[in-house]
This record gives sequence, structure tokens and C-alpha cells, in this order.
Amino acid sequence: MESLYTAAARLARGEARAEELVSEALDRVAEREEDLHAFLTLLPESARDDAKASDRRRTAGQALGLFDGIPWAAKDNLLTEGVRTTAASKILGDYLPPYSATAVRRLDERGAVLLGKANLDEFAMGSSTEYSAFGPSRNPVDPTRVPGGSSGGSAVAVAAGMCQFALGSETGGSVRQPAAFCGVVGVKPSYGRVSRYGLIAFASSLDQIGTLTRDVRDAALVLGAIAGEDPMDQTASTVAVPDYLAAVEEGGRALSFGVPAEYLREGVAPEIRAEVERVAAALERDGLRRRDVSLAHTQYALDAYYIIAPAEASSNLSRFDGMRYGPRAEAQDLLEAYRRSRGQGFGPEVKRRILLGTYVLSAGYYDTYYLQAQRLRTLLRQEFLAAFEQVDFLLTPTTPTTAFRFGENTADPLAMYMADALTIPANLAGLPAISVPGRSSQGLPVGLQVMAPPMREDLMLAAAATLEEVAAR
Amino acid sequence: MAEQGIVARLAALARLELDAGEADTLERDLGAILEHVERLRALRLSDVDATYWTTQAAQGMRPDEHRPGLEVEDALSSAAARAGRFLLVPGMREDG
Amino acid sequence: MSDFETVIGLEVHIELQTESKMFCSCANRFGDPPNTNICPVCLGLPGALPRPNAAGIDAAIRMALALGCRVAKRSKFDRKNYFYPDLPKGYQISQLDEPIGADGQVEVPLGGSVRILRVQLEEDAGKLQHEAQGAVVDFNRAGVPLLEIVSAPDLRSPQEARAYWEEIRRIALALGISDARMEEGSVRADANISLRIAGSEELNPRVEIKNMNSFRFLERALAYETERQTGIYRQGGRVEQETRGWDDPRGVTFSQRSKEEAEDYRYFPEPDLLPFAIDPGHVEELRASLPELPARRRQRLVALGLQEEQVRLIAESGGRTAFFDGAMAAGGDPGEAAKWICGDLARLENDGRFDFGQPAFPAAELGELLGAVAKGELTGPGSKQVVQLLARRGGTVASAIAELGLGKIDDLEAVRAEVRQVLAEQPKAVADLAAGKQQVMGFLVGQVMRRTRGRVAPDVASRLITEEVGQ
Ligand SMILES: [Mg+2]
Ligand SMILES: [Zn+2]
Repeated sequence: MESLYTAAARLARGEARAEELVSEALDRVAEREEDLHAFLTLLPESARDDAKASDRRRTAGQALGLFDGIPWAAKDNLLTEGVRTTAASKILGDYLPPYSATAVRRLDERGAVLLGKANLDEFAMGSSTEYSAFGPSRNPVDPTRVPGGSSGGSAVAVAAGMCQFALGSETGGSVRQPAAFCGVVGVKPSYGRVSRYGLIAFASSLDQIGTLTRDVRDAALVLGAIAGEDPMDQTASTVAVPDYLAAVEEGGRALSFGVPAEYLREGVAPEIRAEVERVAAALERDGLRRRDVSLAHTQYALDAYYIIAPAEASSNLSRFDGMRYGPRAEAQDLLEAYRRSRGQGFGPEVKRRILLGTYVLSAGYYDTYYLQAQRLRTLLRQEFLAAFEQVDFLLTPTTPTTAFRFGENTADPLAMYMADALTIPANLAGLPAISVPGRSSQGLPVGLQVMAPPMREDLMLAAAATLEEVAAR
Repeated sequence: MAEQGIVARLAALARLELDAGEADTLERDLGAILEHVERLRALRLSDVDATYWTTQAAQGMRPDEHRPGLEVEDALSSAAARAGRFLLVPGMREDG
Repeated sequence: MSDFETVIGLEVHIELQTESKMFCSCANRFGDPPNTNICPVCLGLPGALPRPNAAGIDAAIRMALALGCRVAKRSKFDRKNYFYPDLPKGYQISQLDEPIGADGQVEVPLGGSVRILRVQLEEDAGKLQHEAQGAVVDFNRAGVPLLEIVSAPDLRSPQEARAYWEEIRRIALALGISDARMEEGSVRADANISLRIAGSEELNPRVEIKNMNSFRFLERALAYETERQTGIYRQGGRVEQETRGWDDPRGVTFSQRSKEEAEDYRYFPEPDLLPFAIDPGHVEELRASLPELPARRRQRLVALGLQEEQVRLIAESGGRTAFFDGAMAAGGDPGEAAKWICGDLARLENDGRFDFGQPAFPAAELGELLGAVAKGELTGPGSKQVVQLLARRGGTVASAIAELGLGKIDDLEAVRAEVRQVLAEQPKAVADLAAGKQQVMGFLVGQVMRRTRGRVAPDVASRLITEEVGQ
């Protein structure tokens, strides 16, 4: 399937109609959805109606811009007014939100056509979509393997050509890791770059909405559409949104980069290390300067993450109690209603994290776990900022391995957590990061990660555009 | 690593009903994860400030103006039980 | 004769009177139909995020200043986690270790000096009512800004505790940050109480009595607890640290939650809200704008020679104080002005026919009235008619006197003619008076007043009646 940029250009030139784009997308869904299970909710009727409306606007010379008529998919932890939103959990039942997430609304206002709600690990907790209460998605490259997660459905939908782009969300790599596994581009913006209003919270200090696209230019377009301050989210930054498309067009040939050794160590598959080295060498040949940088505290990032994220999650998920929304279990009294509704509504990974989070926040443990982890975060961020004094961006693998098989990691939570070891540091430090496809290894996609200084998505996208070009050679 | 009975205490705090099998698995997992993060606990960081937030240039406070919110029908349409305009919830045991 | 000393600390909660709630744009309004002022934020819907109300923060700073607290240069919000159906998010946004104000002190009438540990801002919960089929919840109040004011355990009796709470409420009213209506639950208190041997510094287990919304309940509950704990110690027992409730009809406290069952609130910094700096310049502006506080008012009124009850009545209301000050400025006598304010005008206010906050006539006219009476231009009964008219329609004393035709009758012979007329109409009363029944004098004076519509000074009428009957 063509990119968003190309499709938009064809629409603009009158060479295509939105109705055709949506029909193609729905045909593709009909072909592959049964195998891949990218969606939890599909909206064929409203998508066709929206496409017709878009075509009418365009005919009347009132098109809403580049996104008008472009089909897309939203991860099902993004609220969509009047459209079932589940976070892949039984505890939300058939929840119909009374409002839409700010990011969703911004795309609505630009005329983009919502095709459906994409599968994920329950409440975005997981790295494979195996923890979806409604069954996993499958990797379009090899359906015996996971697509990654938690934004697995979004990555699958884009990779399988079911829509032009998708939104996902990140807490510890949930956009970049599935992008890497499925061979598409995934962006995690800086913390605060995109409003979180209407994103069902997992870990508030880490969560960001991200993009899944066919290429870096599309990523620039989608990010530009959803970024920027929002009166409904105090943590959304007021820093102006630059022209990302211009950054992509300029490219990153004038930039310098580093490949931190800590990201190529134990656990990183040799073929992935080799691919990073191949691309780094190619960048150098293209004139980008390479310097050595070290990020010694990276080794503790995973530990800090598995304290902070569950702690915040344990609090964020308290509102799912069977009272104001979601199914309420039969019970004799209030306490039993709480315990049963939550006990029956949440799946195993969510329970694991709620308990872990409750533990690290409880009396007597707060300082040694939560506070300690937040202190580590300071060192990690300082270390990144120091590295960015030396180089413009960092190049690393996105994941230690390529897509794994179903069930390979579900018995051992720590093994599953390792899948995010290289993406988590950017979330903890609040940096923007992107995964761009490298050369596949044994037929499986390999993701190359670029990390840039906070709020420098322009720089990140410029570097990624050059990387994309160089890696494809 | 995790002390005995800890899962039961945490589950009570978190209002989670667990069956025996689940509790055993969770106790084991919790122990393994806590053991893994021991390395972090061992670091001496008492002179390092915590970073709870990473937003740059966040917005300030909201002006004190009121706006209409949700109609009760939209707000409570997903509730398990209602009594007129009220949300209805189960009683507490000590009231019985 | 107790050899025990009572140690009490109070946590007072005051709902702030803002346009909108603390973390969302819903109206902060009492009395609307259930679940009218609700939105995704205050209902704790998935995906919703809070954003703080600047007016709530200013109100908290003003209260902190009024209580002599140090205002933080940097403050933040924290989450307090617990489950309850009136708490939509499963946590309350509150403040743990960086409250807006700390280390203050307040002088309490009869209670001495009480240290204030902290003044913090948080959100109120919804309203839960128990019913036969379960409990029903109204979220109109959920998210309303709430100040929590925590005292040191400096209170030594239920009466002192009550006086302290009343003073905190008066300060909130004086600042105009709350309507502080007890009957609407805008002011509530939790009390901690323990006993110790008088003069010792020992720390005994304390009992917490939660969520009282009346001064009388507080006083009674603490009195009961003092008795109960004294009894336990006298019998050599130990008081359990626990939370107890107050059952007012039965007049007893009862155990609600033991120490073992105590909640673990798992506080942590609210990740959705950034810490905020409080600009010292802004704090100084707010300090400069503080109104006169009740304690200062009372001092001033006492110095003017007012009676204790008058001081209490006037000082407890900003409107009355302002009215009093207005009458003083127009040259009125303090004692006379206080009599009017605590007498006729207070009665009119109680009947809903006068409002000191928005008076129908300017306070300066009360000063004029006092002057006219002092100069003998207006009689006591006439002045009452003037005040009734002014309260009803506004205007000036001069215009009211003219309209009511109340100019005093100064010509003694004219008064005597009126008196004679009355005596001629009341032969029985005259006979009684002549027979020495002094009680009828009041009746006869009243008749003269009626005939002259109060334009005669009562003492003059009385003197002339005596003269006429005596002849
Ligand atoms: Mg409180
Ligand atoms: Zn609201």
C-alpha cells in the first residue's frame, strides 16, 4: 500500500477518491484480518460514510487538508466518542466513551477516516499482544510470530496495508518495538509533545501517544497533526511545534551521532548488532561524524521502569472498579463487588503489575523502591543530556531480538520485559525516539533506533530520514 | 524474596480477588522481579534528586471559569446500576 | 479534679467557594440536582486528566497567610490512594510533603495560641447516601476544592477544640474564600484525642473521630471520648489506637477501624500535575489584600468599650463590622451603634429583611440617626420608625423624618394639650394612676406616643401626665 504522503497527493490531484482508498483498505482487512487479528472493533459503515463526506468536501473545494479522506487505525486505549473502547480488557466491557482523545479529535478535524480500533496488550501492558483479553494479533511477516506490543494491532494494520497510518501509545517501547518487529516506522515523541488527554493511562509519567507509519516522512506528517499544547493536559508542553516535514526534507547529513556500547551488549542478537554496525558505517561514509559515547546507567533502566510503571499503573487502574462503568460482578457487599469485579475483569499481566506497584508504594517500601527508581531516572537523563553535548543523535538497535514466537516469553515475565530493555531508557528520560526498519535478518524485520534530545523531534526525524535512505541501500 | 502472605495483603489493598493458583504464580513472579531490581536498590543515590516529571514548558493553572460538562445520561450510561439521577452501588457490610 | 490532661488536634476541612471545581471546569455549586455538574475529569472516566484551578491555589495561599503560615516557594500535588464509591479515581489528589502553607499560629478566644502544622489543598469526594437497596452517589461535590488545615495537638478541652474550629471558620468567612455553611457540609472536621497524666509529655494511643459537621457534635464527641478514655485508664486498661465514629442520637462514639485495619494510602507525587512555583511577589500582593481578620476586629471593638456579646455578634460578620465602621466614620457613638446593629438591625437581618453585606441604606445614615437622637431631634420610638423605613426603602434619615412627619414636638404647651386629650379619653387609667397604680403610666405614655406618632420624648410625656393627674 502507498504511503500517506502519496495517497494524499493523489487525492489532492483528483487521481483518487477517499471512497476508493477506504474500499481498498477494507478489502485488505477482509483478506487478512482473520489471520492477523489487528482490530478489536472495525467501522466499515462509518468509514465509508466518512469517506463519502470527505469526497463531497473535496469536490466542493473544501477539503480539510492533507489528511482529509485518509484511512487510519487507533490503538484501542485511545478514546473515540461513541465508538467502543476496550483497552483490550474485559473490565471495560463494551465501554462507549462520551468524548474523544485530543489526538483522535485533531485527526477527526482534519478529515482522517477512522477505520477501526487496533488490538493491544491489556491496558498496554505487554510486548507481544499476547495479553490482549481478546486474543493476540499476528505478525504479517510471519504469522507464527508475535507482532510485538503493546501497540501490536496498530503495527500490524500498517504493515499489512490495512490503513495508511495508525496511532499507538508508548510507556516503555510499545510503539517502537512492534514497529521493529513488523518492519514499519514507529515514533515515540518526547514526553509532553503530544497531549495524553483521552489516552487510557498506564504509567502517567511515561505514557506518550506515538505514530506507526510506512516511512519517516509519514511519521513527520502524523506527528505534526497531533502534537502541541492542550488545555486539557497540563503535562502537554507549550513549546511550539516545528515543521517536521521540512526537517525530513532537509535530512540529517550534517549531523553527528554516537552508538553507545551499552546498547550492543549481552542479550542483543549478533545479527542485530551487525546491522547497526553496517548502517553506522554507511552513515559515516555519507559524511555524518561518529563519536564514542557512553551511557553507563542504561543497565539499571529496566529495573527503574519495572518499579515506576507498575507503581503508577496500580493507582491509574484503581478507577476500574465496576462502579461507574464496566461490568460489576455479583456480590453481597461493596468490598466483594470491588474484589470480584477487578479480580474477574483484569488479566494476569495487569494483576501482576498492580500487585508489584502496590508493593513498591506501600508503607515502608516507598523510599527504597519508588524514590530510588526516580533518582536513577535523574542520572539517566543527565547522562543522555551529556551525550547530546557530544553528538546530535544516538543510533542503537530498537530491540535485542527479532520477533519471537507465540508463548516463547509468556511463562517468564522477566524474559518478556527484556524485549523493552533498549526502548525503556528514552521513556524514562522523556526523549523522542524512532524505530526505522533496517535490513531484515532471516526474513524478519530489524529495527534501528534513533534517540534525540528532548523536544527535538525535528532533529530526530531529519536523522531518521537519512538513516532510512542509507539503510535501504 | 517476597515475604510470606504478601500477595494476600497486596491483593486486599488493591481490591483484587485471586484464586489460589493465581496467588502462587504471582508470589513467585513478584519474588523474581524484586530480586532483579535488587541491583538498583543497592545503588547509593541518596544525594540525587528524583525526576518525577520530564515535561519542559508545561502549562500553568486553569482560569476559574465553569463550563458545562456531561449530561447525566451520557455520564452514567455505562454504569452497572443507577437509581434515578444517582449512581447506585452495593452497601457496605457494616451497614447491614 | 482529673489527674489527666486531654490532648486534642483538629483537621478542619473547608470547601472553597470558587466558580469551578479544583481540577476541572465543572461548576462548583451546591444544591443542583444530583449529578448535574460532572465531566470526564471529576467522574474519573478513563483517559481524563486534571488541571488545577488558579483561584483554588490563591484561596489556599490567603488562608495560609491569615493563619500566619510560611507559604511554600514550591508546592506540588500527591495522590492518596484508597477505594470508596464517592472517590471516582480511586485516589484523592491531595498534598503530602509540600503543602501550600506550614508552621502557622492562630489565637483562639479562650483557647490561647494554637499552632497550625499545615494548610493544604485537595479535592472533595462525592456525596454518598446509604439507602435500603445499597448506597447512592452524587458526584456534584466530587472535585470541589477543599482546604485541609491541620492543627498541632495544642487543644486541651472539647470547648477549646470547638472554639478553635469556630475561629477557623470565621477566618474563612472573613477572607471570603468559603460560604462555610455547616448545614451544607462545607466545613467538616476530624479530631485526634488522647489523654496523658497532667504535665507529662507522654504520647498515648490516640483515637481519631472522623467527619464531624457540627460544632455541637464535636464538643459532645470529645467530651464522651475524654470520659471513655479516663474510665479505661482508671481501670488500668489501655486505649486502642483506632478510628471511631460519633453516634449523636445515642451520644456515644463507636469503633470503626482498628490500627491493624488502617489504610495504607500509598502516597506518591501526582504525575499528571507539575510541581508549581509560588511567586513571592504574588504572595505579598495577596498578603496586602487580606481583610481585617476576626481576632483583630474583636480587639478593636473591645477597645471601643463594646460589651462581650456585641463584640462577638459584630466581629463574626464582615458585613456587620463594615456597617459598624461606617456608622463610626459618620460620627456615631460606638455603644449606641452596637445597640442598633445587635438589636433592631440584627432582628431585621434574621427575618431576611436586611442584609449587612448589601445594606439597603448606607451605614453613614446610622451615624446620622444617632446624631439626631443625641441632639434631641428625634425620639427613641421615632428613630425605630426611621430605621424600619430605611431598611425597607433606603434613603436618608432626613428624608425619612420628613416623610414620617416625625419632627419632635418641642413646644411644651402643645405636648400638654395632647396629654390632656389622652387623659380625657382614659378616665379609668387616670383613676388607677391617681390611686397609686404606677403600672398604668406606661400605658398612658404609650397612648400619648400613639396620638403623636412618637414625636414626643417619653420622659416629657410621663412628667406632664404626673403633673396633670396630680392637679
Ligand atoms: Mg485530607
Ligand atoms: Zn468536572
